[in-house]
Amino acid sequence: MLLHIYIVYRVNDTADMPTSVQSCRIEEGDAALLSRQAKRRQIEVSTLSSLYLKEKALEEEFPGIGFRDAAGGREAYLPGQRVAVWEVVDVYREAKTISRTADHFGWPEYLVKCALAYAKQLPAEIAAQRHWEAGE
Amino acid sequence: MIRLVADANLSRRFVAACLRLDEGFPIVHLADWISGKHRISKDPVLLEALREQGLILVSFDRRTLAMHAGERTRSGGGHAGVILFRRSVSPMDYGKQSRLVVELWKEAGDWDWSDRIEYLPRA
Repeated sequence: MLLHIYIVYRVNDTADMPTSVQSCRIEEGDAALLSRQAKRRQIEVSTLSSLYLKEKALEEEFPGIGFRDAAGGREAYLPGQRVAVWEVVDVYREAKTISRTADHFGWPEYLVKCALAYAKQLPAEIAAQRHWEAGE
Repeated sequence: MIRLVADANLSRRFVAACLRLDEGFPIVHLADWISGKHRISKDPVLLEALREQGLILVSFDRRTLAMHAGERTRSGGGHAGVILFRRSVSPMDYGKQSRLVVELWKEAGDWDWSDRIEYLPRA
């Protein structure tokens, strides 16, 4: 049974990034799950919905990329490898080539290409993640 | 006996460099530890597995590992120790990485590493 719930959220609510308001209908069980997860994270359901929607859309756009909690916020990473995209970018800056970067990690080259494609599309996000490091 | 595990963000070349400095150095790469079983594990799962075995994790991951290790300490779950390279250490400078870890281990091999996070180079 569908619960008639309208979830309103804002995406990237900054002066530089125009936002839009969307609504969607989700099943009652999914709404309860979302609510539990939002409570656990101590954020609004709408904020969590916005986050999930954005990250799922990016995961579809960039196969091989996932997201995880990190100090300072969420970060993009390669779920099959435990390595953040910004870490791949760091190594690539030194290695200069995809081949040498792949060799460093012991990966096939397509994984490096995948991370670099994401970083190229969202350079500000990756720079922010690289900048924010804990414990230094 | 293995005491240290190099995380996936470190190259196997780092492990090889440690073994060149000290052929008996007790380190293994995550991809080779128990046949790579935890190569894709998330931090909390990996930290728990390492705690069970009393193994210390060596990593570049300053953004997530310190946070998850701290959470485990606060919750009482604990961890078996984490060594993190500072940003000043290049991810491809395997020589410097290995020298830092091997030197630390000479002094710190007998420490109680429970819930300890050590940064290299040391302040």
